[in-house]
Amino acid sequence: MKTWSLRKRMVVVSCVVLLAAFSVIYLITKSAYTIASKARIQESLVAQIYSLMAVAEDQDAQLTLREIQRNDRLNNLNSGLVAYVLDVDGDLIWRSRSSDTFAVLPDINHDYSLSYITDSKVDGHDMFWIGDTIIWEHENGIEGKYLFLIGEKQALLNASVREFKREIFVWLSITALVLIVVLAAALNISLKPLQAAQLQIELVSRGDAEKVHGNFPKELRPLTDSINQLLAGEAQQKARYRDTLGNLAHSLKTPLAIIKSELPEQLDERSRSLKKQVERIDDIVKYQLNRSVVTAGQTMRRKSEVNPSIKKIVDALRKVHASKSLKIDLKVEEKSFFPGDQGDFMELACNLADNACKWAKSQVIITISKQANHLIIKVEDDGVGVPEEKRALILNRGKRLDQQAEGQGLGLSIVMDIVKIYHGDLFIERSTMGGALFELKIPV
Amino acid sequence: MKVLIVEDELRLRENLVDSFKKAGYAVESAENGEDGVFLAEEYPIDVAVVDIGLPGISGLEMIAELRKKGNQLPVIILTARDSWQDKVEGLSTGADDYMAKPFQFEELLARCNALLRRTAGFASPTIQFADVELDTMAQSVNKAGASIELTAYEYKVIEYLFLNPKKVVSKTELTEHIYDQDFDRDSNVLEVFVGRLRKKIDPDKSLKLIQTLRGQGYRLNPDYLQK
Repeated sequence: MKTWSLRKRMVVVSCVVLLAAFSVIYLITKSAYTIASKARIQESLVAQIYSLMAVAEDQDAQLTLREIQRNDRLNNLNSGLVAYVLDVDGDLIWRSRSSDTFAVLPDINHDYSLSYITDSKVDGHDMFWIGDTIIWEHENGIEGKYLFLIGEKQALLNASVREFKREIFVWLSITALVLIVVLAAALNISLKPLQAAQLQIELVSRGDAEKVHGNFPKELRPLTDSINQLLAGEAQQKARYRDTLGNLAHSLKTPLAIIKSELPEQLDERSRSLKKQVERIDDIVKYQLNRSVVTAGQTMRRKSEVNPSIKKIVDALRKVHASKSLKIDLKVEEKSFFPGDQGDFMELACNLADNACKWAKSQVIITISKQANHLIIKVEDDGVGVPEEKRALILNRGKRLDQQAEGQGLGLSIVMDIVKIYHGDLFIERSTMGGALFELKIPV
Repeated sequence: MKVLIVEDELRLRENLVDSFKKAGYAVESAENGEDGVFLAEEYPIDVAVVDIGLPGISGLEMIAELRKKGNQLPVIILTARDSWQDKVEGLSTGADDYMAKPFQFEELLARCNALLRRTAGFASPTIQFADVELDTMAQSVNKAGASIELTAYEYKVIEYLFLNPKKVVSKTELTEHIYDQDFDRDSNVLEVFVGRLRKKIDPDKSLKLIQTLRGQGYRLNPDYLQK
């Protein structure tokens, strides 16, 4: 539940609220309708009992009503409306024709009234009753008590309530559906900036964009602005860092260059040792400074396209190794991206390619391709290659600088370092051209 | 051959100037990029060694400026920065080679020589016309396999001619490229050098490798040019 997206939360909450609201509306409407219907029934039954009383006559000191009534529902069987006139003992004085299907008489012990409906069962049917006891003065002056009863089958009301329920259910459902659609659309509109921000942030974190672009509502702006500030700050800091390191390198190396340039041409024991120490200091500076500019593991991932930089690299290497007249072949798969800073990519590719150029007799092939989730950089040459026993040694380098054999160069140590930081792998094989094949696998 | 050294660190610059002079180069030097551009534009420089970390306009900006002006002077950059990004940046700005500080002067010299050769269109360190072979690494000349003893200036003359084989080289040009700016020049001295050089490489005058074009200068005999 905690991990539900905002959209999901809002949809679920709106649907629940909507359903609850409509259920309440449904229940209220239904009971209001039932109450109103009962009141109407009571009214109409009272009116009919009065018209029955109005047509009652006195015949030979007997209360009589005509068998056929003006209200046709009282004459028809199955109309659901029945009427009785009973005396105080419960004996039948008169019954409407429509009551002929009832085998028994209504129970006179119930409390019948004009002002409320009495529910009771007669002959298995649920009925609403309205009744009134009147004192009748016969022609002969004797007074008699009679109970006028009129009842309607409850089934009639139930059927109309059912019909009403069905209808209201259909309409409420349609309304709810329409509301849900409208709500979803409204949700979409209000969530749109959020979605845009999400997309932008994703682009940035995947390294596809430098910063978060676009105008956002004021609730989101602090977030997007902070991200941009963070990114800009980071870039600025990195530039400053690079600059400082560059200056540091410059101020460390110029004195070293002077010391070296002051050594006599013919080296004696002392100056040879001095030269060695200068070179050692140089190596340490080179290695440590290079290490510290490697930028993997930043807050936001950078992604740099391989193509422009690798072409620059090859041009540069052609210049540097121009005296060897090497053939440098370059095969780069379209839209290959290195998952990090361009400087790191250059460091990796250049060190490998520069080594290959140094060892190659006449040809170097650089192949860059994408494979599943990896960027593959292959550099091979037609030189002497790396003997198998030395491969492990090379791959384990980068830890102990002071133990390196002279003349091995720092290039591969730096490569190993960067590869580790990017969680990549380096393999050394034999090229089909006879020389070494270095294969780099960097997870993208 | 004339080299331009642009380096702001006085001590290193002086050492470089000395070493290049010892190696037989004529040398111009500057301590900043502005002066570097000026010298490269005004003097007949054959190769420049430029430090990247200069005060004012940087070495890279200086190279960019030269290239913008159409100056194709071959340049080796000296860089204290070891990252390949900086090296590649420098090379794609227009530098032709780089040297990381601290360096061995011999290597810088070798790279300068190689760059000069390459600029002249030669790939190997030795250049041969007829049976005369010039070795730019060893700074020596062989004829039919036998070494010929040359003085430093004689070597400079034949090296310049060999590295500009298709060109008529005027006396002024030759003087400018083998002497420093403040050197007291005398074209008669140059004629003496050429005369002695001819005697040494062509004692019986059968080869006629170096030709004199009256009023124009010297050139290598076109009959011996392979290309």
